[in-house]
Amino acid sequence: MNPELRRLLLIEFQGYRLVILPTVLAGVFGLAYFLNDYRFDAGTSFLATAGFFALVFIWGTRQAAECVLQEINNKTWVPQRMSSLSAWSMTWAKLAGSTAFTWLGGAVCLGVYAASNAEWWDTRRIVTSVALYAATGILAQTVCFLISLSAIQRRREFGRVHVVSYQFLGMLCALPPLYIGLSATGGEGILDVINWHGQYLGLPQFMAIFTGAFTLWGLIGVWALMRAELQEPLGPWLWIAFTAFTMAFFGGLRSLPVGPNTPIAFYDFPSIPTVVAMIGVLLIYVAGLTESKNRIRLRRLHGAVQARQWPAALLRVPRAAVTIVIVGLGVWIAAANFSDYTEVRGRDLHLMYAALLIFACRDMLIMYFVCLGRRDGRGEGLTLMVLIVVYILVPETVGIEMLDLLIPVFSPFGENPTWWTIAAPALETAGAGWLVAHRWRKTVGAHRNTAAPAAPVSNAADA
Amino acid sequence: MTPPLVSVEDLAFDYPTKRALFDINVTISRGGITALVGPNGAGKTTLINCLAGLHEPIEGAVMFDGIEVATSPRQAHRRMGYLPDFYGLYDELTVRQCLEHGAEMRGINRREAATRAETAAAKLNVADRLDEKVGALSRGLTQRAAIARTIIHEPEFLILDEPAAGLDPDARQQLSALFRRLRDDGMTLLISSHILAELEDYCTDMIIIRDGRILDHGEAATDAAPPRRIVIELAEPNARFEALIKAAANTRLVELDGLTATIYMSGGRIAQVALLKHMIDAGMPVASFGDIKERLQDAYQRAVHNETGGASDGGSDGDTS
Repeated sequence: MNPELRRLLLIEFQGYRLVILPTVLAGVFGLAYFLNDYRFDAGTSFLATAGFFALVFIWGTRQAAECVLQEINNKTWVPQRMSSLSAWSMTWAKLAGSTAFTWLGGAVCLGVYAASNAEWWDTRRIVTSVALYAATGILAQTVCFLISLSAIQRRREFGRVHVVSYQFLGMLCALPPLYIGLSATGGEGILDVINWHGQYLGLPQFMAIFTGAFTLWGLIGVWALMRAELQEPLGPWLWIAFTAFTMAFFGGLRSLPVGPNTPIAFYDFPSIPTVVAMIGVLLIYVAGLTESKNRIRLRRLHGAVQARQWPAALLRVPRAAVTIVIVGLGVWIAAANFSDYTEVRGRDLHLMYAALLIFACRDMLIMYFVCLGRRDGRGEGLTLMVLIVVYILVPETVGIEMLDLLIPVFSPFGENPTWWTIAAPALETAGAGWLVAHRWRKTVGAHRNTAAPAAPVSNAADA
Repeated sequence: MTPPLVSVEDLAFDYPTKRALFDINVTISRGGITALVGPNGAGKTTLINCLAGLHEPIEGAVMFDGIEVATSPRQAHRRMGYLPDFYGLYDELTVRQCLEHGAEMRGINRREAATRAETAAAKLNVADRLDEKVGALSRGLTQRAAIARTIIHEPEFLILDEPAAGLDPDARQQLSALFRRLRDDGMTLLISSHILAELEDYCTDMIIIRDGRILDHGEAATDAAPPRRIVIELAEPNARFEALIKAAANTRLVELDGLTATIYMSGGRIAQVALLKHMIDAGMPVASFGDIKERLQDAYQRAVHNETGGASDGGSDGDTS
């Protein structure tokens, strides 16, 4: 048995917990059962759902988010980093072990949920619903674990606020597919069928594919970050593969949806290149916001480039830069292959895609400029504020809606794209690039000059 | 000549806000106990983290028996043990569970792990506490359990960061005996501390670090290592005593306490004889004149004095901080 899994199970399944959880669940469900004339019904179904949420989505995500953070806070992480356990063994043992107890309670809740609906639903619907709850629970916990591991690449001190924010993000990823999937399991949902890469799929089926695929990617991401913690970092290849996969996954969504109650707005679904560009740009911002930008990492990159040690440079190259290249390529391929979709209402969207990418470049440069100005490299919050000012406050204040010429300066989404749609953000990007280059020279490139000369070393034995 | 077990070459390490280690070049011989000493904030723990492959240096390399630690940390970890200044045990588990977990995490199979746990516990005198929860142990016992966990995979190189911090004198004495036993078993130890008195009993080598730089590196105490520490005692007070010592060549006054003066003297035995003759010729009532073995504290003070030009003189309480 995996020793880390055994340790976590020993800690999780001990003491008062083993008595309290079964007692509480048996008490609540038993009472509801007796009060409902000895039958499970909608009331117990609601209680079971609430119990599952509390145990798996709230407690479980907290356990997943904290499983390494607690080790850091309790100073037990260093011995683990020096262990012989592989990154993959560490990954699954920590995720399964830290959340096992919550799943024990969650399984009881799902059992009561299934029993409560057995009278009205067919078996397929029950199995689909239970599977959706379980799969999205795993997705939420995996995402929380992923985000917490990503955070420890940048900082080593964590409080309750951090954990809660990771839980929120985990639930943000998992609850929409759960809601959409459940809404269609009975056929009365607003969205029934989806066209994905030419295949017509039921929404629960599509959500199962979505949840399964992104849970798998979440686990791969955790494994990659665990490797970094165990001093075996990987290059950008996994991130590149994830970016390409995500663009291809969402790029396959067409004509959403074709159900009988479909709102008309959904027929005007964005073109394939537009979806690819939007998802790709979102990934650029995710990469930029989550990766470490501290000077040490950048100095190592600078040193590796200067020494022409390309494998070492590739390990440290900013993921945002890599993502811009991959997204550019992806959008180009999508636009080249699905050109019939690239003109909407007479607008040439090629210019808009290019502008979108150039704006993303500019924003990443602004982020690096801000982060390089801080010794700890953490300037993401300030960057977001700058971007809010640039994208929202300034255009609102000067009223650019009245001046077509100014729109491309602040937004890639102009009504009538022209060469200026690209030239304006390109000029801004060049300016931001110049600022970053200047700051880079001062803080990263010139670090050797800041080091004091070494003290003479005496050797008592030689003296 | 046996190559050193650990060799640090031109090592530099940066934190985002400052450089923590500057061009470190040291070697650690096999089978010895090396003390890593320096005041708080000197860079001891950072250097240890680089040696253990937990920090990646910005420049330079750490070689552990031919393995570059930064590029193959896991290969090096298999043959290393590291006890951080916090013990890193799980309070909710028993000592036995912690030791078995530690062994299995080092790749030892379950059956062998149980045997190793008992052996290590016996070595550290915690065999009678194997089934007690770690959280219920005293600090001294927790620390012994942590060392047992650190040596359970029988590493060749053991790094201990402030192992005696917070221990009572009895526990420290037991710890000294343990370190000697581990060395006799063939282990190489690196022990970081800022309490020099406790290191004196067992250290064979010493590395002094301050402000991220190595000030001194060599054998911890050797009769051949000048300058000598000499104590001169007068039979009765003499007003010219201090002036005479200060004026003498090759000497530096460390302490003058009434009739007794402690000095550092370089130049070997001949210079020592010359000084004694000079004092007697000058009419000093010398009652005793002899060199004493240099203590770690003295070597530390001397190294720091050389670095700061005498500003660090004084303070001999065995604590560098």
